[in-house]
Amino acid sequence: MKTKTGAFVLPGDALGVTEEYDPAEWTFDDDGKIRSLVAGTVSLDSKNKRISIVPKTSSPAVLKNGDVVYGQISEVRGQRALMRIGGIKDNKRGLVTNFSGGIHISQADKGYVAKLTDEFRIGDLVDAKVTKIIGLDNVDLTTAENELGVVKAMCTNCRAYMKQINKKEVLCPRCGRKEGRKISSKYEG
Amino acid sequence: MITILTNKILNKSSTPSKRADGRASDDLRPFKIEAGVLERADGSAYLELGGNKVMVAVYGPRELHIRRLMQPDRAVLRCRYNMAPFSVDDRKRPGPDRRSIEISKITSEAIMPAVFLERFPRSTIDVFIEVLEAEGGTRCAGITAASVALADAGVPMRDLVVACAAGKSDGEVVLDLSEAEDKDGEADVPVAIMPRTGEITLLQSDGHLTSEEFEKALNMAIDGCMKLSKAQKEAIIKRYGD
Repeated sequence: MKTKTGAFVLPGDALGVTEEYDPAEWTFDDDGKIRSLVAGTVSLDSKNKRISIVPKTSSPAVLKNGDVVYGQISEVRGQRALMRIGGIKDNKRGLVTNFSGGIHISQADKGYVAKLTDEFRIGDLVDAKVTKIIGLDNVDLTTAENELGVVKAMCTNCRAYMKQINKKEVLCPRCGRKEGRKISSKYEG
Repeated sequence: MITILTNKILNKSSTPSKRADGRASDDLRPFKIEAGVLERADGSAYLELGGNKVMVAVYGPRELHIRRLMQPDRAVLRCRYNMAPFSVDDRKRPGPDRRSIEISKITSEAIMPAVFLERFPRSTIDVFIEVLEAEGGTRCAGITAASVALADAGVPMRDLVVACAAGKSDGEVVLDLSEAEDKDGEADVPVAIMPRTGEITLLQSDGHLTSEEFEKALNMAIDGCMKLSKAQKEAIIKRYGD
């Protein structure tokens, strides 16, 4: 039962024993034996005594801290903007369940934010980073980074997609309305 | 992309054959398994076993919209076994019928013990088994291909479930019945196992067998499963190994 780092294993293959190692990512403890859950290569961390698998197949999309997600703002409250999460960026697979995210006013931008409605409005398409997972389907998000924030803003007046005019403001091409946003560096207009 | 895995076991058995296709009583039909054949599915597999051609697509774990089916502590595994209208000699009327509903149910129950459903609460894993050509033993072919497709989708599993049938034809207990042997034969015993532990996840018996014959058929089917299991693993290694 000696496994080496880089060895290719299949679901159920024995990797080691729990007396010697900790079963880490994509492994499970089967009555004292550590086995692989998926097809992938073994990664042996002998310093921390951990065995994990690096999956070679694509993996189910489960949110974890640090993931960048995209979604649509569903509600803006005084202290918190709520977002329906569409999926993980650069991951073709859909999420395993529908997650809803919350962006707290302190996590919306780098500096002080007086009003959350100057950062997000209902319907905006937003990129955000996961900071905390609460329960099964709720996450805390942050947009306090240059490449995070609103990617496509909708006019609250006429629902047209808005054009960016400066770092903090967008303009509606249809009705001429000006609104504030936390605009991402990847704003697409 | 498609390569044929030659069945080295074929014609190596000691007992002289009485079967129509010249196989020995404990021979499987020639087979090949391929993983990852569909672009848009999360996981997929293609299996040929004699005249059977089966394609399996796996989607998920993904969001379950039907709330009454949702389980708060685990995922649900939904299977759909479907025969194409052109899969048999006479046109098969499309859509689910009594037989395919039963096979869908037993397939999901055969695979479920191997899958870590509790890792994905409130979601669903959908398995679609499409029989493109049928020639006896499609339920076993479907189960064997479905577990390869699940592994291809990266679904965490204890083992790769594999299935194979044995039965009685012309008074002789034989492995892997063909369509003709199934129709004119006396009995059919499909078996699905988790090969690492040998646990049986599906056992059906249709027809008449004495207890000795049944035991012989069961052991034969398990041996057949072990041979197919090797091909399942090779299919995944071929797709992902170096």
